[in-house]
Amino acid sequence: MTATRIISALAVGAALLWGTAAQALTQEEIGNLQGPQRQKILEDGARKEGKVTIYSGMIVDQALRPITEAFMKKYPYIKAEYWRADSNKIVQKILAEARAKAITSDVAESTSLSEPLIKAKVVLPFNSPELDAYPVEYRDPRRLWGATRFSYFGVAYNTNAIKAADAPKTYEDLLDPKWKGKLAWREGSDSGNLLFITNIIMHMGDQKADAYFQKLAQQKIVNFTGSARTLVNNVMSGEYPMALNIFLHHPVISAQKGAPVAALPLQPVPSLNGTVLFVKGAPNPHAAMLLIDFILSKEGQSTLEAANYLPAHPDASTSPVLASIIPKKAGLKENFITPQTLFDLNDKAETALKKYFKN
Amino acid sequence: MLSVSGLFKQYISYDGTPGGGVFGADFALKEGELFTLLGPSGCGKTTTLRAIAGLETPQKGRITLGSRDLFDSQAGINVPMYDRDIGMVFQSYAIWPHMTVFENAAYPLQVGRKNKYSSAEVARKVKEALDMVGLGAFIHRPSTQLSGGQQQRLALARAFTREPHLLLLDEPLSNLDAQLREHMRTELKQLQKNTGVTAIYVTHDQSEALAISDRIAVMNEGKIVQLGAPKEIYNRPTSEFVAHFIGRTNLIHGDLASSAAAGSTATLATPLGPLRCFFPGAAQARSGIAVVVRPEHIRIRKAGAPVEAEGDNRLNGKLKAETYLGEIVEYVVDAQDASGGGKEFLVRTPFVQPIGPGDAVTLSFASERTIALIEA
Amino acid sequence: MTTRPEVWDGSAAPMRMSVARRFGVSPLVGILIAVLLVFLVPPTIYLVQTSLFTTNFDGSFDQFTFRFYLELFTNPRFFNNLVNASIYAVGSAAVALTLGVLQAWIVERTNTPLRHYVFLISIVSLGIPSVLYTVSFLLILGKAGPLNLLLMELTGSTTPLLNVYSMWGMVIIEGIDFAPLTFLLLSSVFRSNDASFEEASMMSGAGIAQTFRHITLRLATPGIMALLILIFIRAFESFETPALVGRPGNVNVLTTEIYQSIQSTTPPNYGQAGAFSMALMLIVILLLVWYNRLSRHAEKYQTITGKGFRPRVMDLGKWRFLTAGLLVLLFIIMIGLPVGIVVYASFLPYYEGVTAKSFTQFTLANYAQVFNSQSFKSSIGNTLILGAATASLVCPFTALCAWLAARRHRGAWILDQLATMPLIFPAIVMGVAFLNVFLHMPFAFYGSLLSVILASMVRYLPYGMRYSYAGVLQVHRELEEASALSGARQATTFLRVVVPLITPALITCWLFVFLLSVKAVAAQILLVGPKSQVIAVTLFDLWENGQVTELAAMGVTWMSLMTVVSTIFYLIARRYGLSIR
Repeated sequence: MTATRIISALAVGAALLWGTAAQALTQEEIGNLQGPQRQKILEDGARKEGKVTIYSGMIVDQALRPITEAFMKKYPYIKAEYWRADSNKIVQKILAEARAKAITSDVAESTSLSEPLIKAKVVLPFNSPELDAYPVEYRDPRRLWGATRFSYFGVAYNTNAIKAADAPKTYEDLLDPKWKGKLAWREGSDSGNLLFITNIIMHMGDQKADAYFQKLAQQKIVNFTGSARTLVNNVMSGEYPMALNIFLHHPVISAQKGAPVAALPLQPVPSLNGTVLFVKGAPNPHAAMLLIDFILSKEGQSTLEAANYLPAHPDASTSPVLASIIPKKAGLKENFITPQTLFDLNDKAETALKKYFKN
Repeated sequence: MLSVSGLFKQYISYDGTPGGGVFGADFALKEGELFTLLGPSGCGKTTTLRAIAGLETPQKGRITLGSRDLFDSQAGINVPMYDRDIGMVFQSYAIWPHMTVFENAAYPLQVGRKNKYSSAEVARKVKEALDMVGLGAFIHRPSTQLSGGQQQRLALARAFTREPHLLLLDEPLSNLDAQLREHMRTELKQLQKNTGVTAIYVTHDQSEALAISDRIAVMNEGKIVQLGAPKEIYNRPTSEFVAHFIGRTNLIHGDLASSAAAGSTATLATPLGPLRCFFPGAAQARSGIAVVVRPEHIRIRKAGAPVEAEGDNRLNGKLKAETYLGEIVEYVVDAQDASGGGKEFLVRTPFVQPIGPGDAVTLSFASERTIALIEA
Repeated sequence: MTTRPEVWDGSAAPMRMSVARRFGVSPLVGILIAVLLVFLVPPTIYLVQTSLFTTNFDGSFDQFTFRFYLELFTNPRFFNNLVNASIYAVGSAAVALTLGVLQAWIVERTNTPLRHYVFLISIVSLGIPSVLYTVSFLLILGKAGPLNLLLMELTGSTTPLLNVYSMWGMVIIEGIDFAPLTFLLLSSVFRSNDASFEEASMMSGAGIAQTFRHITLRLATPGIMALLILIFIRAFESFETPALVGRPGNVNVLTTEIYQSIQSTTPPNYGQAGAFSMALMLIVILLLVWYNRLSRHAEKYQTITGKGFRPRVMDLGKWRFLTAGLLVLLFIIMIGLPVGIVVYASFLPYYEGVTAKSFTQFTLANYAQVFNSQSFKSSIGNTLILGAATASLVCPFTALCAWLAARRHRGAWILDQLATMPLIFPAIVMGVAFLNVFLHMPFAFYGSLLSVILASMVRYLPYGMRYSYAGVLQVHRELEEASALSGARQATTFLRVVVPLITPALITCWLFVFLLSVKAVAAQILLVGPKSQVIAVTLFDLWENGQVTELAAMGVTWMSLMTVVSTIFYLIARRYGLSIR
């Protein structure tokens, strides 16, 4: 008698739970949605959510604002908000939010944030039909990220201060005493001086790299703390004659507008891909998936192309002015550094940085 | 009416060292009397007043107003100041600058919890009080536009509006200029007599105290040293302190050969010769008895000049200095003692004498004006 | 700082203080103490804990260790930061004082024309966010800035001669940034000196310069010394200028190192940030103790004479036009140029220094961007709410505390102590402490505007206390006693007598706390989230992101708004004859 009652009570309870689960999907389920109903479920859910927040490393006026505006044009009922910061600041913020159980971000996008976020278990796997169009190396086997854009790194110099003929051609040329006090690089960012050091270590091997750093340290490189874009702006304005390891498309974009700056790839050209991730505990999961879809779609990727970024989508063509800095097209040697490799070599690079370039 | 007994309050500074205060004061007021606490600064008079008001909490003692205990350290009674039904006029007047004359005077009627007054009653009572102090015409003025004297009156009116059982006045005239002060003290006394309110008046100004009071308690170092009517305090001081503090005086020490009865006159042997003195209290034969003579009780004449009505004590000396003060003349005389040494005597008289510095003079004063400092 | 009660009353046992009574408190005081403890204890505990535990990848505490403290001694960076911070603090204090003394003397003690405008200008400049001020000087002094261009033109050099991203750059910028506040504080020091000392010197045959050196300056020395330490402390714990000017030039100080430990390392090095914070706090405490001693000494030394005292001004004769010129020059350097270059930059499509060409490219695009941007609007809204809420919480609360303390309510001295305690937390350290509190909250609080308001409230408690105390001290005690004897209870007395009388002081308090809390970056930068962006932090981010022209447009808009607020502040202060400290 009692047992049957308990069982029936349990059954009712389970049915109730099932019922609510069927109505409101968990975030995991939203991420894993597939099939023809997916778009409708997402749009219905997003309508209720009404907004979405992305943390991204894209430069606001060049890419982040255009892409969110295009998204809002497509889904007028979703208000897309963004917060721009460098990769490591985004990682900090999301980790802190997760720790404080106050997640604000739905989507995270930048060049070097995927591994720390995955390691901290603050992102969830997702399916996006848009990823089907991408080559397999542009997708995470765990479905935790998708590639959004490519970045090639190299030198930018002020063309008023330095003649093209005098510009360095190789990494060894950077050791020339004439550059002493004239170089700047970005401090405190994985895609800044740490990437430069990682690239050199991968290229030269530990021992030769050590010797190289020792000499490079003599050049008294300025540690710049703003974004990579700001550093290029400072090269343009003449604040620093030459900057190491900036995003090569930045000076190209500015040079096209007539700014006195030139992009200079040194071989091997380090490259990273930007990734987009689905933040665990996102307050607006439906809208988040729609935004991820949009960023990965040809339509969204085309806004990057218009901004002279280097979209990852195979069908989105790159702007012709960027041909000179894409190693494959310019016939330059490339060193593609996966998020995994960058993360694994981080400690080594950090050690070298502290040893040679601080104090 | 009001009785204060065993009042003890000592201030202790932050580092723990004991400071001033009042150390055991006892007195009782009669209905309708103007009672003055007089003494130099730091004597404890203001502390006593503030303890009665409830602004200070004494450590020991008992304060009773009528049949009601306001404070009793043993019974643990301490009526909060807002319930004591006492009016007070502060030294700074404490007129609230953000209120009008009317608002200032009406405040006690509005905030008290015991009696609720209708606004018509408030208006009537305030008008009465202001009329009483002559401020009726200023009723709607901002209080900051009042002169010092007017503020003083307003403070009085405010203290009166609640018709308190007891009025406390903390040096109310000290911030006024000399002429206004004299005028105000007459007015104050009249007001007090007309209303019949019992009042305690605190001042360090002895002439003010003498002029205004029914009785005076002279305080020094936290204790009441003499209590009595103004004439008694002035004419029969019982200690050197009171003698010096109230008016100016000449002090002489001498030896008493045989005991003197209270109220008798006896001869005291002093370095200036024998002096006949009045003993308010009985005294045993001993040395070092102090006697005082007020300067205005001494007559002065050129040595050898004809003798008019004179007191029975006589001294010879030499005139040192003469100061003409208008209504009176002040003379400083070096009285000669047996060994040829001198003692300065101050003499005040309304009559100009035909003498100059260096002249030999004779001083005379009555034995009943030569008071031995013995408590009755 | 507030004065200690000289007399303690309330002891039942004469001659001896009973400890229980000394710590006994009235219920109201008890409640207020409890409120303060709720806000002060958790951040302090978390800060200490942070420095004593290793932190896991997810931010939770792991193992107890003294490692981070040991590292202070082994890490050459700590020593290096300490030396840098000291040089920087001494330097900027010297610059600020020189400018401040000069202005204060000219304004207070001479008949220089235009002198009264310095007050207005100084107060208006209080409304400019430090970030914007620093950025404007970077634009002026940078390699591409007008000064370097001018020098290159003059010397024929092909490379810029001045590198602002250096120690001297930090010193100059911070010094100029502090100058208005220094002037405001110093003017009261100069005002309190009796002019007859100077007149006596002139009668003895000394000239103006000699009088200034031997009399004016000597008399003001204790006041100036105390102020010097105050500016030193503020520079020592400042964040904006070292972050924007020092870091790019590899000149790091303790505050930027703390910021970097948290924001630029993955995972954040909370332990190092904690240990550095504790070290910084210790230094600030020592300096504050020293300051308190000196300022107490300075008060004794002050020569305020009695009633109707009004210092007279010195007639400089024709020299007064020179001093007027000096004031104008200082105005141009301290306000004209920085505001000018920001306004100029706000009209440019992209920033590339001051060139003839750029004037032809003027555009309103940045303003359009700013006014259409939702995030800018919410940033303005958040900032106004933050400032208003901070001031509205701090001022009434400190007014009550100050009144209880000034009237020596039992236990109120504890209130006084607690409310001034946040002074020992440098802004960035307070950020670290509150960050850890909010991260450990059981519910979602981190990143909310309310969390930023709470931290800001605690930060500005001491400032509120200072204003309120000054206001309460102006109220003669007898005004309250008269009310009590009229039959009013304490609450009635407080509301009907005390509050109306300290209202002018409270208004000044409100505006001052408002201006300070919306101006600062350091206390908020670690706490704000996308939902709680505030102007100063947004400006900081825009600079780091390279959006200089938008930053300028936003800065100009905000400055205009704040100029209105600070002008109101100035007018009220003048109306009520309040001293602005």
